[in-house]
Amino acid sequence: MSEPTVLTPDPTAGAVPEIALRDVRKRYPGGRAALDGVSLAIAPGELVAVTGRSGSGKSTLLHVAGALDRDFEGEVRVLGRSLSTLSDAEAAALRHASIGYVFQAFHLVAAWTVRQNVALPASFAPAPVPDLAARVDRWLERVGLAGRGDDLPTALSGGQRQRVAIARALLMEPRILLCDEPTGSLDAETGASILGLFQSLHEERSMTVLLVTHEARATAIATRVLTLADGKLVDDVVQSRGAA
Amino acid sequence: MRTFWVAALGIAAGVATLTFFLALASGMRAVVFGKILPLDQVEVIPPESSVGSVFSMLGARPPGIDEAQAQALRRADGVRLALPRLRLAFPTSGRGGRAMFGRDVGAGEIPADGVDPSMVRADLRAGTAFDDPSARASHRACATDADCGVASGEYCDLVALPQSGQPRPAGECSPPIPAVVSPYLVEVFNGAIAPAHGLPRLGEMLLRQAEGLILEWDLGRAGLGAARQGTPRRVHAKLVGVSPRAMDLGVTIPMSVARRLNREYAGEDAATRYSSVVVYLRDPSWMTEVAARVRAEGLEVRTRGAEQMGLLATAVTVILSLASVVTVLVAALNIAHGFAAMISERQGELGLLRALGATRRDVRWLLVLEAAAIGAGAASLGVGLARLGGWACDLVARTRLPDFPFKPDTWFVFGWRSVLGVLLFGVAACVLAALRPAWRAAKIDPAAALSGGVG
Ligand SMILES: Nc1ncnc2c1ncn2[C@@H]1O[C@H](COP(=O)(O)OP(=O)(O)OP(=O)(O)O)[C@@H](O)[C@H]1O
Ligand SMILES: [Mg+2]
Repeated sequence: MSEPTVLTPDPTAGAVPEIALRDVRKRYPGGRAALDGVSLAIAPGELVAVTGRSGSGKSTLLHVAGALDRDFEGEVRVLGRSLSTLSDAEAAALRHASIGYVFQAFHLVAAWTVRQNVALPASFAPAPVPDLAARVDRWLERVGLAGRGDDLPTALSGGQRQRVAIARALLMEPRILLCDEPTGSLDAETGASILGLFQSLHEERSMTVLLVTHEARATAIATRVLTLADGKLVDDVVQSRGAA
Repeated sequence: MRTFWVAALGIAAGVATLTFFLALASGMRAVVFGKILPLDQVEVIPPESSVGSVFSMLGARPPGIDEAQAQALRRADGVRLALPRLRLAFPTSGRGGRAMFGRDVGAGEIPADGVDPSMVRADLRAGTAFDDPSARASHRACATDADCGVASGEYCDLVALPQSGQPRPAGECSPPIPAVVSPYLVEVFNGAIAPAHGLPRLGEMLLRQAEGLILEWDLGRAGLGAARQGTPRRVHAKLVGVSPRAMDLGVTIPMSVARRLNREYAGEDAATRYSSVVVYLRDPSWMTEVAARVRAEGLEVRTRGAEQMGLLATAVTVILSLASVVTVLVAALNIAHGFAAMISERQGELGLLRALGATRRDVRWLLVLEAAAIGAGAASLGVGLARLGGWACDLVARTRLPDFPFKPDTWFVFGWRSVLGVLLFGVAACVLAALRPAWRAAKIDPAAALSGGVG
């Protein structure tokens, strides 16, 4: 990260940003600030890597930006809507329709088949999802798990489990995908193939992707790299793909 | 998952004890009030004070209930039937059963009631006569029963009681007096007398097949004394049936026979004034009103300890039910703990559901419905366990406990109402126990839930 091009984020510039934070502060009970005055704007179609040391506030940033944690100061807008003004049901609807999440710990329901896990978000749809089974199978095929739909997650490898989680995150075809160290529990080779999947998904669907990582390999596929330190945004580099 | 099973088993255990005790309590009530002390009937007797001989000696109204009083009872509101009874007013004793038991079983004192034949007719085999047989007697002279001939159906009645060292008194053949006994007496015999004397139990079938147990019946004399008038003599009675309307401990004979014998051994008053009237109520709720009517007639209600027994049964029910309610409350506390533990164990999952679009309400409903389902499942299991326990207890009681009067075939009554109530109780207990943890779980931000923190 030598000689970075530091851009001053300007939330008002250009098209309506997909995600915009203005002076966001977050303090956990009994701790110091996990986010300390963060402002940034992410445009549609960006693939943003978020890096920083452990405890620098990466996960917190992702939770705040993804409406998973709405207990903060400052303003967060997602798809033009200010999160603090949303009711619980509205926030749930926003998460359901527009944001997909992938976590380091997969969070699959162990007692359910792969197919049932992928179909889970459809249970919270306001109306029945048409052709749900076909849609589930399509996503399973897309993440490379065709034919594994009837297996239990316990029968899959770590990389395969993360693919199930990715298929689940994408089932409702959200505009935003938030990933918190998705390769953190995987070996290097498997992690690389997952990153490859993200990259191709990003290319073909032009989704907005926020990818928390401390792996250099992950920042390589990003179009922009944010660096956090002690809850502050200390670096913001726009790069052409394949740089670094 | 383990906490789940612990919680569910706690509910099942609580519901099982509750169901078990409720069923035991209603089983015992069924025995006490259905068989031992039926609550839909009262026995009306003359007031205690008039029984003493002092009043009759002073010329006061003689003891007993006259026909006018019996009529008044019959017409009272809430009375279905009022059946007068005439107790034999002189001592008798007897022995019998040789044909059935191989030896005679004797009774030093045999109380007997006369009743209207219509009262017991339904309990007799079709064609069985229940009337005064003396009109049909052949009066042939005899010395023993054999002289009368088995085919004739007559037995050798003696004009006086045989005395040792004296010639046997003259006899004449006559048909036996028909008699019925109560199921209560059969129970007492089977439960207490038969085991003590090594006699076989009396089944109702056996009683019928035996074509009448013959009783050699000495009138006017018993171990305790003799009649004031008349000559003691020996007649025969034949057991022709078992009737719940027969007197509890004694034999019940046709009213006309009782009248005739009382007239012979105790005088005219004893032949015309009833010793009691059994009043059958339309339903038990009439008890108080009818009792008041009885007192207005100058008569009394014999309680036979029904009130005390009823109170005792109620107290036992209440204590057992309280014990099981406490059990269930303790179980409910366990359940509440169990649910809290279960829900915090599942926080990650709940956080995920929120991330995927579930609202707080969705999460609350999910948890409460789950609790209801667990409650229903566990409560059904509990009811099943209780039934199994009841069945096992019945089996042990049947095979291991000695016979005693009114030993029931089953000690448990699982009424559908109480089973349904207990099921609902189990479900409600689980839902209530789950409410607080469910609300708390739904309040947590998905981010905190996902990272396993408690927020
Ligand atoms: N639930 C919580 N309660 C209290 N403090 C928290 C909580 N979650 C995070 N923190 C604190 O907030 C700060 C930022 O945490 P965060 O999880 O965002 O860091 P991170 O950059 O994701 O770290 P890592 O790379 O280890 O995942 C840290 O100091 C952390 O200790
Ligand atoms: Mg983190």
